[in-house]
Amino acid sequence: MPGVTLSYTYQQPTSTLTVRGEAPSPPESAGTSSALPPRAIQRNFACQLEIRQGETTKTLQGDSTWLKDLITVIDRYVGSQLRGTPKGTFSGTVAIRPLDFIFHRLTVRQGENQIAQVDLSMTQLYDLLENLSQVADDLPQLGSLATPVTRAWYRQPAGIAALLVGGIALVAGVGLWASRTPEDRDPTASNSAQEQLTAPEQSGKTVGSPPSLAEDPLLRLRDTLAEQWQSSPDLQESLVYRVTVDETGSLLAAEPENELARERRAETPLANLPEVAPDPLPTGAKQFRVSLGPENRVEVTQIEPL
Amino acid sequence: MTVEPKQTQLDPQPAGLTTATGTIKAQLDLLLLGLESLSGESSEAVLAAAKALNLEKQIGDRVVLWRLRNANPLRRSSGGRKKVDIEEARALVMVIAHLAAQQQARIRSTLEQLEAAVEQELSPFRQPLVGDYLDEFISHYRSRMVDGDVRDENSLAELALRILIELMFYSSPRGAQRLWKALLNRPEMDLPAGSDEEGEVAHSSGSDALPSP
Repeated sequence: MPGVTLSYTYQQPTSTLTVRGEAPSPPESAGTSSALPPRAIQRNFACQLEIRQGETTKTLQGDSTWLKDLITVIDRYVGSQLRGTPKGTFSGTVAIRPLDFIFHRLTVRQGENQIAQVDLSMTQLYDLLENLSQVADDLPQLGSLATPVTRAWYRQPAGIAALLVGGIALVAGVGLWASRTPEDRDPTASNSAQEQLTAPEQSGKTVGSPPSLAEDPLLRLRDTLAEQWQSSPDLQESLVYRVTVDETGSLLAAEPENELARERRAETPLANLPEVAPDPLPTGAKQFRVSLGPENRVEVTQIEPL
Repeated sequence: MTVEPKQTQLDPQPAGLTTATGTIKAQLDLLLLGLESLSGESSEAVLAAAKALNLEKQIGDRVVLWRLRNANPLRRSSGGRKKVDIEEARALVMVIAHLAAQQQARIRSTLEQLEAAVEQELSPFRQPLVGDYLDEFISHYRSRMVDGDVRDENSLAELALRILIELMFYSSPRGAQRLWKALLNRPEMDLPAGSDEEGEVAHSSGSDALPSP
C-alpha cells in the first residue's frame, strides 16, 4: 500500500533531531499529509541526530530501536545526575558515562560494525534530553515500530556495553578543579568535544569480536574478560555464568548460575547478552563456566557437552 | 522572559509519605538559595511565582515561606515548626521550576561559562557570572547553614555548582516533574541529628529571616 513520507524536526540550541517515516496514505477527505502528526508514522522509521560543538556538527543516525535506546539511556542517566548519584548506564545500542562532573561520553552503535563517541557538555546533554523528551511524547508508537530483522538473533552484534573497554559504572566527582587556582582535570576527559568512529574489531580485544582462529577460545575469553571485569569494592562472592560462544568466538549468551550473578549482571561485561542460548546450539559452539570474582578475579572452565 | 503560568500535574508521592523528609526540605531550600544567588531576588520573587501559579494557599505570605525554608534541617535556626506537608513541598517544586524557567537564560549563560572554564582548566571563580554566583551562594550558605562555618570553600563551591546544574534541568517545561521525581528518589543526605523535631521558639539570620509583623 503506498504511503506518505513524514518528517519532523526537533530543535534546541546545540541539538537537532529529525525523525522520518511512512504513514498510510490518508483518505483524500482527510486533507494533506502535512496535517498528520508524528504518531501517524508506522514503518520505515529512521532518525538523525545532529550535535553542534562549536564550529563542527556531529551527526548520528539510527532506527526506532536506536532512538528508543537513546531516549531510555539519556533519561535514566539524567535522572541519576539529578538524584545526586551520577552513574554510567547503557541499553542495547547506546551507553553514556560521566567523564567528570560536567562532561559525559555518549557511545552509540552506528550500523553493525561501527561505534561513535561524542563527548557532551552539560548544556548539550540538556538540549539532547529536551529533544528526546519531546519526541518520546510525540511518538508513543516508537516501541512497536518494526525494525527489519536481517540476521538471526544470536548473530546480532553484541550490545554496546560489550564493546566498551573500561567501567561503565564510573561515578564522577566535581574534583578539586573548583578551587580558585587551576588544577589538573581528569586526564580521561577531553578538552574539546570529539567523535571517534572505530570498528570494534580494530579496537583491541573486546567481547564479541572475532578471535584469531589459532587462539584457544577459553584463553581468549578469559583474557578478554580479565581486561574488562572491574569488580565493585562491595563484592564479596563470585558471580558465576554459563557462557555460550559460537565457533568464531562471538558471545551468544550468558546465563547466571547463582542468584547474585543474576542480581549484579548489569555490572559485568556480559550485561547485554541474552540469558538463553540457542537450542540446539549452533555447530561448533562451546559453553564455559565463567566466574567473575572480587578483586577483578576471572576464572573460566570449559563445560563438556553431555 | 515571560513565562506563562501552567498547571503541571506531578506524579503522586509514595503511599504513606504525608510530610517532606529532611532531604527533601534541605534540597528545596538549597535550590531556592541557588536561584537567589543567581538573581539577587529573594522572597518577593517566590511569593510572586506562588501567586502566578495559584499556590497562595500553600505559600501565601513571607511568614509561611520563612517557615518552609527554615524547615531545612541544615538551617541555623532552632525551633519553629519543622514539618512541611507534602502539598507544601509540591508547591515549592512548582515555584522552583517556574523561577528556574524565568531565569533560564541566566542559568544557561552561567553554566556555559563554567563549561568553558573546565575545558580551559581555569578556575570557575575567575569567570564573571560563575564567580558572582559562587560568591553569593557561599556567602548565603555560610551565614545561614549550621555547617557553614566548618565546610571549606571547595566543598561549598561543589555544592553550588551541582545546584546550578540541577537548576538548568529544572528550567525546562518538564522541570517540575523532573524535580519532583528526583526528590522522591534521592538518597537521604547526612543531616544534623534531631533536626526534624518540632519546636516553639524560632530565630534566624540572613535575608529571609522572619519579617517583623
